[in-house]
This record gives sequence, C-alpha cells and structure tokens, in this order.
Amino acid sequence: MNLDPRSIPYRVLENTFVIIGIILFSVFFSPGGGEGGGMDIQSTATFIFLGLGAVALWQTAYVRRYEYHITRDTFDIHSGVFSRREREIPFERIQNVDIAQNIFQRAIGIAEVRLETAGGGDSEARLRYVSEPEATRLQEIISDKKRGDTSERDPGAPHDILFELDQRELAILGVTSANFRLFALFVVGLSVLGSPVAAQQVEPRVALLLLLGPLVAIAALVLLWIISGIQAVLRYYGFRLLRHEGELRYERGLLQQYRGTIPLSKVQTLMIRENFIARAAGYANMVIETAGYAPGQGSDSVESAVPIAKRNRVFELATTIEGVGEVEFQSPPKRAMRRYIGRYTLIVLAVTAILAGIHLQTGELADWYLGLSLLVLVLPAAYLKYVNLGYYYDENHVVTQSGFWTRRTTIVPYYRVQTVSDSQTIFQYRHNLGTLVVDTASSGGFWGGDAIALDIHIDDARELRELVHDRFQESAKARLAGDEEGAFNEQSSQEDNTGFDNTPQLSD
Amino acid sequence: MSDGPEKSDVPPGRNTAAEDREDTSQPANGDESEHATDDRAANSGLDSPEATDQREQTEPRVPSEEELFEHTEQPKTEQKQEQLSTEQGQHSDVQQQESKPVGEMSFDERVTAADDAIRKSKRGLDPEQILEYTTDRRSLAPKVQLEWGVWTSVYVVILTLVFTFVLGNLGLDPRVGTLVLIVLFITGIIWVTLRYRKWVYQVRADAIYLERGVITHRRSLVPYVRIQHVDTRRGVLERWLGLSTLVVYTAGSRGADVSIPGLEPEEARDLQQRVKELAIEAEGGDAL
Repeated sequence: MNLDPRSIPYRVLENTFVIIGIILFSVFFSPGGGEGGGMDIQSTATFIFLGLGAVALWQTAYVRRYEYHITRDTFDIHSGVFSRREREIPFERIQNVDIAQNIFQRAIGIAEVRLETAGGGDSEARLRYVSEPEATRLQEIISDKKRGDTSERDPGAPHDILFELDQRELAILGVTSANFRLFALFVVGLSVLGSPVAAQQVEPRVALLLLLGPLVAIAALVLLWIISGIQAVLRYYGFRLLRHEGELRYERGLLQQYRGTIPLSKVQTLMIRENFIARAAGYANMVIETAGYAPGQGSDSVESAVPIAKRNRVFELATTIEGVGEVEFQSPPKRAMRRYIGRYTLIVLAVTAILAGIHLQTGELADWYLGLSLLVLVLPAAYLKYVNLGYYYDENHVVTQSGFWTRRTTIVPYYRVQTVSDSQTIFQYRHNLGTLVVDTASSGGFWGGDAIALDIHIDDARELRELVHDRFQESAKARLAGDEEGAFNEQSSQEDNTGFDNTPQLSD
Repeated sequence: MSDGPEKSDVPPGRNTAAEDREDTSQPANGDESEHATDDRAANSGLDSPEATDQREQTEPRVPSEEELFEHTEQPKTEQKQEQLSTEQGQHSDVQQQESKPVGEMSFDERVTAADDAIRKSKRGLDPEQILEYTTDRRSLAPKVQLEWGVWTSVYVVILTLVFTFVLGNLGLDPRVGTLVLIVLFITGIIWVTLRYRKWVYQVRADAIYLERGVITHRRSLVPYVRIQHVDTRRGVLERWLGLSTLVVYTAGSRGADVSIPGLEPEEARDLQQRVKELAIEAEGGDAL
C-alpha cells in the first residue's frame, strides 16, 4: 500500500517553509546585495519557483516510492527514492502505535502513524502520511496481529473508559503544570545577574534597581506559568484513556491530536508524579512506561498517560492497570536525615565560600557572608527530602517514592525487573545505609524507569535485592508457564492478575 | 594478595542476611572474606595457561548442598522458599543418580550435554546442567591492576601538568607540582588496589552476581532471562597484558551493559560460553 496522495502537497508545504527561509536568507545576504537592493524580483521568483519544483518533485517521488505491506507476521516498509530500504517489523515486537494529527493535517484528512519497538531511539516506522480512516485501520490491524489472533475480532468491542479529563481537571492541570526547572533558572539568572548589571549602569539609584531583577524574575515566572499552563491545556484537551482488548488507548490534544495505544502486556513501570502545587491540591499524574517510549513522548520530556486526577483516583487507576494494592510506604531510618543535613550544610558553605572568593578577587558582593543565612533552610530542606522518601513491596510489586518538588512514585512489577542491585557510597557506609536500584527496560528518560529506594538500611537493601531477584525469577517462570498454556494469549493471564474482570468504577 | 586469615570454608555464594548484618557492623569481617577470595584467585594460578586448563576441568563442579540452598534462602519469602527448597532437594536427588560425574566430563561434552538438555525441552531446566555452569565467587586476574594503574598514571600526569601550569600562572612555586604528583599517585595506587580487591563476580544458577566499586560499592544481579547478548572485548592495552573484558547486555535503562574487566582471555571465553548457555536455557519471552 502507498501513502495517501494528499500527503504530497502537505509534505511540499512542510518543506516550503524551509525553502522560503533559505531563499529569504540568500536574498538578504547575497554578496551582490550589499547596497540594499539585493537581487531583482525576477531572479528571486525564479529561485523560489525552482526550489518549490525541486521539493515537489522529490516529495512526489518519495511518497510514490514509499510502500508498506501487512504480512502474516510482519509490517514491511519499502522506502527510499535512490537508496532503498526494506524494513520488516514483527507485529509482536511493536510496543506502541500512535496517530498524530495537527490542525492542517486534520483539515485535509491525513494523519501520521508511528510504530515503536523496544529497539533504537527513534520511532521504527513513521508513515507520513496516510488517510485518517487508514490510520485507524492500521492501528486496529496491528493490535489484532500483535495478539496473533485475527479470527474472533469483534469490531464493536466495548471500550471501557478508564479515565476522562473534565473541565475542572483541565483547569487544575493548567495551573499545576509548570516547568519549575525553567522557573528556577530564570529566577537565579535574573536576580543574580540582572541586578548588579542594572545597578552598574545607573549609579545613583542602586537600591531601586536592585529590586528590578527580582521584579522582572517574578514577571517572567508568571508569564512562564501562564504559557506552560496554556501549553498543557492544549496538549491534554479532551484526554480520554480507554481499555480495549488488552490495550490501553488514549486520545488527547486540541490543535495537535494524538491517538495512541499502549499494550498492557508491554507496560514496564507506572510512575505517579505530584509536583508540590498539585500535591497541595491533592492531585497527581501518572506515566505509563513501556520499553518503546513513554506515550506521547516528544523530543522534550516524558508526558503523562493520565495528565491529572485526584491522587486516590490515580492510585485506583494504577490498581486497575497493574494490580498493586494498598501501598504503605516504609520510611528509611531517621539517620538518613543526618546525611541530608550534612550535605545541605556543605552546599551552603560552598556557596558562601564561592561568594567570598568572588569578593576577594573582584571587590564585588561586599555582603558575601549573607550567604550563610541559607543555613536556616538546611533543616527544613533535609526534613522535606526525608519525609518524601519511602519504599514498599508486596507479592507482585516493588514501589519506591522520592522527591519533594516533584514526588515520584515508581511501581515496578517483579516480572519487569531487568537487573537489581544495591549500592553503598562511602558516605552511606558511615551510617550503615544503602540504596536499592531496580532497573527495568522502560525508556522513561532521565527520571524514569528505575525504582530507587534511597538510603535504606544496607541490610534491608541487600535482603531486598535478593528478594526482588527471587520473586522476579518466580514470576518469570509463572509467566512463561502461562504463555505455554495459552500460546500468545498473554492478555488473559494479565487480565486475571490485574483483576480487570471486575474493573472498579473509576468515575467519582 | 596478602595471606589473610583463612576463611575459604565460608560458602562462596551470596551471604545470608545474618552474615551481611555482621559484615556492615564489623568492617573487618568484610575484609577477611575479601582476602579469602583473593587467596582463591591466587591459588588458582591464573597466570599460566596450564593452570587455567586445569581449572577449566575442575571448576564446574557439583556444588555442595549448602550452595543449592543459598539461592533460595530468603527470610521474607518463607512460603515460597519452602516450596523452592523442596524442589531443589529433589534436584540434588536426581544429581546422585547421574552415571557420569560432571567433574569427569570434558568441556565439549558438557556443552553437548547442555545443548541436548535445551533441545529436549524448551525449558531445559535440568538443575545439574545449570549448576555445572555456575562458579564460586571469583576475583579478577591480578594483572588488571596493571591495566588500571596505567590509565590512572596517565590521568595523574595530565592532572599534575594542568595543576602545575595553573599554579605557575598564580605565581606559586611550580615544585608544588611534584608534591601533587606524589599525592595523586599514591591515591591512585590505593584506589587501584582497593578497586581490585572489591571486585567479585559469580556465575550463579539464575543470575550473574557482581560486586564492585570503591567510592560506591555496588552489588548487582543480572538475571539470565534478561540477557540480550554477551561480548568479549579486548582493548590495545588489554591485549598487551593478556586480558579480556566480558560485556553482558540487557535491555535495562540504567547500566544496560554490565562488564567484567580483567579476565584471562580463556576465562573470558569460558565465561561467555557459560553465560550464553545459561541465557539460552533461561529463555523466556522477549527479555523485556
């Protein structure tokens, strides 16, 4: 099958912006145009025309030469104009199938389909673009083929709506989804760098201008907050999470629409995140991580599978998906807090020392010793770090929690464990503390994937290491036995485990 | 490899929880067991190829019953543990019925036997076949200290040059650089020695077990079910010194590749073979 012919004009337009940019650039910066005239209109027009023609020709050839086939076991793609590539993706290895549509694409009725497998960093297949119904058809076919069962397909199979974002939640999402790392950067950048620079330029009003930096920082903060809020609302508008025959499906987006699938059999870990604003309001979000990528993950960061919901509702969803029961966290030993007090004290002292060094070298920052006032924050900071740490394990899962600004709760089923280790730094050694790291194959970015129980008793860490390993071995055997019974029918055992037969009512 | 107090009677597998507790409260204990492993490495005479051949024939031995139980001993999973222990008990019965002792089989015979076992069933979980592939706790070849020493020296020299240059610019006596060199060098030697002593690996029945790290001491388990592929790798320096590195790849996101440096080439190949067979035997799904 070929791509949709309507994708040719769209692809040309997509590239035209680039071409026009290049032409504009060449017009304004061409060597002959130093006197302000640039090239004459005719040659410019010729340039644009030629560029467009070339792009159109190339895109037509590309779309024409792009073929995909659905065979019994694989999804085959033959592509390339001059150098051809033939790629075969086994259905059972496909992790996610995503459909993305922006407003322009929706206007002409085309969509992009992405297939993810566990290998490689990029999407293994991007069909740009197919018609809307074709995209849906592909999604259906692939999820059927993945189950290795095409016989008893019920096209009107029920979609259980697990979660639907309502207006109020959307509003809360807008308020609570702020990119705090950016904020911090801005605040530090503007208040530290901005003030002295402004103060130097206008000598007499030093005191007033010193306030300018923080004021600008606050303004930037509010602006960023609003922007990231709007962004989040646009991104998650109309979010719905459905369960459909052993798969989770989600839809979201206002301008750019996404529809994706997450096979339940490929779920690696669940991560529940609460930043401090959301936590104060009793809300949380959840990321469902697979080995392919986290759903909807762009180039920037991990996005949520459940963008926002009441905390207990998120945990209910986690129970539905992964079957984790009541989670009662154990805290690390109290002496862990001593480490944080020590660490933060050292950081404050180091900062003060740097300020003092700058003062000695340049004579600026006469009040460098004020840095020591940060010591007031050490105790609360250490306490907040400590109280947000926790770990829990039961028959089927290990759960860890950490972080104050954004508290992350990672739920790892034993059968997803890749490696398990405990580690002890020389600083932890003094306190008999250690860290348990349970690694999974999820590709959840920097923060994702691993369950890390920080600063627990080293003996507990070692016992847990063995326990997690043993339970992993048991669960791996159990799953394999289950597989052999009902060949390929991974979902059935999964559903039994997760209690999907009596799906809890999730609407409040 | 000091002649530390003999403790080789300690079962070579993983420590029980109780032992671990002692381990941390009395650091001296940990040292002793390290010496014990050092001794073992020294005794096995890793330097001569003949010795390696010998070891190859004797090492994959039938483990004691104690070792069999070690892998399942876990205070917090009592029910399952009992189950497993009885299973393992049966396994050791089977073991006694075997006509040809594993120790007398040549390496090739063992490989063939393992292949047969795999072919017989998808889960060729004949406990004997698995256990003969396991090893006790082993240290790296002492030569690896030389390899690390060379790298450390390079870094030390570069650091010293940079430091001296900076000091010179600040108008301080450049001879301080010599002092820096000495201090860094001694630190480097201590670090290399400690790193060597801390390194332990073990091919267990169901996972590779690794202990390593000076500043951060890590103990990891890499289950065979999760292994994607196994490499042996030899850099230029490693080839000169006659060393080899085993690299085990998993699909994990953190430390996805686990490497065991400082192996004799024969041993690396032997390990690769063992791990490969065990990984095939433990086959389960797509390792995700």
